[in-house]
Amino acid sequence: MPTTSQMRWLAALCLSVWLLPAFPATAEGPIAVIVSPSHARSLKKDDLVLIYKRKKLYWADGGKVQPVNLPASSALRREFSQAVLGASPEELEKYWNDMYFHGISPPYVLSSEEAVLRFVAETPGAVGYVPFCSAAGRANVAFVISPAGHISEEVSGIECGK
Amino acid sequence: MFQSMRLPLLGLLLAAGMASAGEDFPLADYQPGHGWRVPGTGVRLGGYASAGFQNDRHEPWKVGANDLSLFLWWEGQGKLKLFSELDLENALAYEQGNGLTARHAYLALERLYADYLYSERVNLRAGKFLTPIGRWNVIHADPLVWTTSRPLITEHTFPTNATGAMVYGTLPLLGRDVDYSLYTALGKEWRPDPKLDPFEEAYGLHVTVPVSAGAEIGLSYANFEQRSSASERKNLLGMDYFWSRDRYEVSAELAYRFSENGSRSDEKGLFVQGVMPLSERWYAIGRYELYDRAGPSRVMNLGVLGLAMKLSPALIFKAEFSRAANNTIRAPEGLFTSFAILF
Repeated sequence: MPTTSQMRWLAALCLSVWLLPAFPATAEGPIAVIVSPSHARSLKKDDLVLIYKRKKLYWADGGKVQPVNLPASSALRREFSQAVLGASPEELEKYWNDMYFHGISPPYVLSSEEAVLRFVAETPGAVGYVPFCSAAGRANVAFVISPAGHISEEVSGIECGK
Repeated sequence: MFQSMRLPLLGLLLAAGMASAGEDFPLADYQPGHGWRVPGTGVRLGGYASAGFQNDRHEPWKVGANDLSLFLWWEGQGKLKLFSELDLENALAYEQGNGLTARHAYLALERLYADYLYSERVNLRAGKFLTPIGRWNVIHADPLVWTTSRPLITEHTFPTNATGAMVYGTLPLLGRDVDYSLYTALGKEWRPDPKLDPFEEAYGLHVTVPVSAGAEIGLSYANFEQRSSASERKNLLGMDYFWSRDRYEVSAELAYRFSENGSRSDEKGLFVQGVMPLSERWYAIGRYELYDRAGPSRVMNLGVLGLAMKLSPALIFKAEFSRAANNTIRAPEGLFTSFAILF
């Protein structure tokens, strides 16, 4: 029989495991949804879900939409996924398996925010997301996703430290 | 053996070979469950495989390969997409009393179609595709479903494949993104599976409406004739439901098929399935099905209890036990296990 002390340790261990964050810490600050210069005015808020679920594949001018993601372990990806698609990358695994069965692949994954910035700047029809302050002056910001998950077209008034 | 599908397949391969997509995507690495893109082309290869042990109380036990399915598709920079799926069913098995055998092997042409992806609202498809009735039939691959056995109403009440044309897409309706497919099957089925009774003629509609976070409801309607009973016009009404949250899942389908031949020709049924996570990888599955076959037979009840282990998003091991009451059609009953992979 375990002693009272052992039981306390066990309870403390269970509690600490339960309280451990299941995922990496959240990204800090707002997220900028960025779009290639060729389609800076084409992206609508309602399109984001369809684009990142690969249901909208073309822009109105017939060009291909080329969405990119950060790795599933990225805190920024998790926040974007929750805010836009209402689900974590893990919760969307079934969706992507089902889509694969129909020959539809998920958005390409780029390994870093810098890679996303470059890809979107250089690829016609590209859409991505990076920390707002990384995008400032380097990319066309279509929307801003606040830390609370609110998606807005209003980009003014957000300050970035040096 | 491959006479009826030689021409369409040849066309697909020629189109794939001639066209170079010229894509400049930065990542083209292989990943299980995502397929492999042939470098420098718009051609992608993928598929799934499953093998397992079946101890059906109506048949000798057997262990073997259930499916080896190959997807081959091509997508260039334009709006045309070609997709094919060939499935080698029951390729090899060791059967109680018969030893090693390939006598049940069959190469099925599951899908072969061309899509013109006009916009998210309207896309056109022509060729052989999975009949969009309910949810299970259009995602029936072993790695995508939780049980080795399949609910009866998802394959007995209608032909699972159609050769014809389809319009499909996603429409904004009352603030929701509603998926729809409107289809018709006309003419001869491409390489019909001899075990199945294909459409002689059909038209139908399926819509899926998101109803809340993680939940959606689908509605199906089809009007059709089948080859074995071409003079009997059948109507099918169906409903499907799917909900998932925190790895829990509930899904259900209902089908009611009726015809002008009277109520003795009616066929109806429903199933409800629940999935509960037990640990990071293990899941418990329970399913109840009620199936009322056309004709004088009594209503059949079928229960399934199972376990599944998700080794990765693309790999799953399943084990289940099923029992039925009034099983006049000798639907599979017993112990079934399988291992399935998306590749």
